[in-house]
Amino acid sequence: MKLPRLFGKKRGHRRTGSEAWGSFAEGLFYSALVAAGLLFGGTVLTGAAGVGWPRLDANDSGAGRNWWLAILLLLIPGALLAFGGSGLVRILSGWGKSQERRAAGSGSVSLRGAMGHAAEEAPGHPGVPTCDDLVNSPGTILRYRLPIESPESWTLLGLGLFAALWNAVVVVLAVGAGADLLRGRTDWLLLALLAGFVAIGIGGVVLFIRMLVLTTAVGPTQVEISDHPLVPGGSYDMLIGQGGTGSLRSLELYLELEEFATFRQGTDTRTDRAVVWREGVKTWTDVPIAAGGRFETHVTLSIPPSAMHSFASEHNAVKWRVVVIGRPDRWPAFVRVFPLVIFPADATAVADAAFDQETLAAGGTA
Amino acid sequence: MPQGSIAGGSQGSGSTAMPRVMVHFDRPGRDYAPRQQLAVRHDIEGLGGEPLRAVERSVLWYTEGKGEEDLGVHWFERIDETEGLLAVSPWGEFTIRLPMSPLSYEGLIVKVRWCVRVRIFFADNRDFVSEHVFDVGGISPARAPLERLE
Amino acid sequence: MSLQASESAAVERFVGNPFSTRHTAPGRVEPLDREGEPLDLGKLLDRIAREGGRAAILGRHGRGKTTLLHRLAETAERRGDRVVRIRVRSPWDLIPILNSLAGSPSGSLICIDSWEQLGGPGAAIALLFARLRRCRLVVTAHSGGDLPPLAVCETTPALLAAIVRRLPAGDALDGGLIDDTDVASAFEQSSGDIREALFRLYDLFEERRRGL
Repeated sequence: MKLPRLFGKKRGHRRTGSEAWGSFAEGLFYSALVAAGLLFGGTVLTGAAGVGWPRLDANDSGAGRNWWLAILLLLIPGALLAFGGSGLVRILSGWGKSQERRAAGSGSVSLRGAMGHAAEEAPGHPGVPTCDDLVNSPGTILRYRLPIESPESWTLLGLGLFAALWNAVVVVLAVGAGADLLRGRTDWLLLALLAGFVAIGIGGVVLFIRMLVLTTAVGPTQVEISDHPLVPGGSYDMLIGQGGTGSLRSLELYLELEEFATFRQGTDTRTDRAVVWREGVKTWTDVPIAAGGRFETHVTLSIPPSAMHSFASEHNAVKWRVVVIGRPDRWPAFVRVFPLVIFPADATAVADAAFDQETLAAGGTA
Repeated sequence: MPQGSIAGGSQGSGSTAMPRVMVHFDRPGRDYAPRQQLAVRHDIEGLGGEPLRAVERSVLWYTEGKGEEDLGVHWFERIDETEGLLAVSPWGEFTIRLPMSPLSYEGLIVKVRWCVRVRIFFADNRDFVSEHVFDVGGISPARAPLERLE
Repeated sequence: MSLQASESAAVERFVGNPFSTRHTAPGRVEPLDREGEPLDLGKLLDRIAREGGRAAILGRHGRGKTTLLHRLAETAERRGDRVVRIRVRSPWDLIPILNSLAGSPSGSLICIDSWEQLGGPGAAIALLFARLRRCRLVVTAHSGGDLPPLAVCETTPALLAAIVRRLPAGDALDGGLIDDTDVASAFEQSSGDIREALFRLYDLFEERRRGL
């Protein structure tokens, strides 16, 4: 069996490293993390670390007193196991594969992307992002349904998970504190910690419920469009659908252009954003929404003839979007964003027009 | 849309020659449409008799602004001493067709610029680069930043 | 091909914003001392050898540590040294550091940006490995540690003003869109963070160029 070379070929002063040995060393590193996690976790669980688990024995004394500390200490080996385990899985899944094959397998086909997200380039249009993700959802009436950017449902899910997990920890701590009190023992440190945890837990639940009510009461916003991608000078039919109950004081529709610039230096990654153009498309006032129904209307979206096309490179982007602002009667205003992709105007037509101009200027006929 | 160029480049230590690259575009306003033909002639002056090792010509776009610089090379050609450099220096020309995108864009924090870049390599490993910006697409510059709606 | 007598390339003028990252990113700006005078990079490289082959460039955010590191690396390369540049974002970057050390010949210069991101154990391992491989090490860090300081990057209004004057079309800034008062004000508002100050000047330049 031939072992992989420790060092690759020599290129002047440089040596290419061996992928195999590099991956092996990395694997050893992650294995060490997993081993450390298992060892530490084992000492905590068995009580060898000096903290123990509660015993129901009324004669309990000494060992097992600060059991709640054990729960918190388990977070450390848990993290070691998670990091080490995920690293090992990554190493094993990529073993023996080239960088390009790994990139293709991860779904990031393009080598360039904006803000670290792999943005696939539209064929024949360098620097223009593809709109595949925007045209894979057919509309009910018009051709395409636009996806919503950063949907509130993800925020709601995140809040819900946080509230559930945090309050689960609170319950465990509270049960333990209660058991201690019943035994006539007061652990002031635990009670102080519990007070803080309970406050955060209640806050999490309140935020989650508030957001849940808001989301269900306001209802979803749906935007469909007659064609995609768009081009400068084009006009498109759009359908706006707004669900919920009650009525809206106003519903506003805007077309916006936003620039993104990411800069990395040292430990800092900074992304600047700037909205550089906005046009109000339409505003509706006193919009009633019947229970179980929705407000639905068509509107024409016109793209300015001299509009810049959508652009995406590794650290910079120019993005178009439709923004819907709703102001319900009894709830706070909501803002929902739907991305669009605008391609450059038909290049053949533009080049022909330029050629015609040149010919006329030279005294010829177009 | 700004029309102009950045002329100049990097110099190694102990350099003597201060080259100057003159680039002539076939369109006086240096404004082009996508897919249009771009014809360029370049002259190199001020070599001071120093021998050249190679000349690289490229047509590329790059971003400028508050983000890290990205670039995309549309056309590239290297001519070195083994390929008749004397025939190229002190002048050269090329004609290419521009792509459909990206278009030149004068944004607030993101700008997209097209340029012709000529890089001269001297025999003593020094190099000098000269960049000459041109416009593609005639897109209007962005105006003021607006307050976010969200 | 018919070339028209277009505008002479001799009439070249600067286009763009002189404060864009194209001109101000690390390595683009010449490293200067707190008075705005150029640093002697050759002397600094020689000092690394006198410090036992390892040294740290210290300073807070946006003080020019990465810029100095880049220029030291370039100077070393021009001298014919083998140079490796690594930017650390997490402790896991110890792996590429060890890989680079393993693959580098003795005497190479390893330039590591954001050293403290490695953490204590990772830094100790990297130091030991560098010693075993006989590679020189220069790092950037916010605060001291086991490595002797090569330079402490501090900023002053004079330094920012000197940087601005060295930017493209810097001579045209006087009496133009940006003046010395703007530069001093940007420095103060950014609490001495040169990077932030340059971003502020970028916005100000754009605003004034558009007549806002």
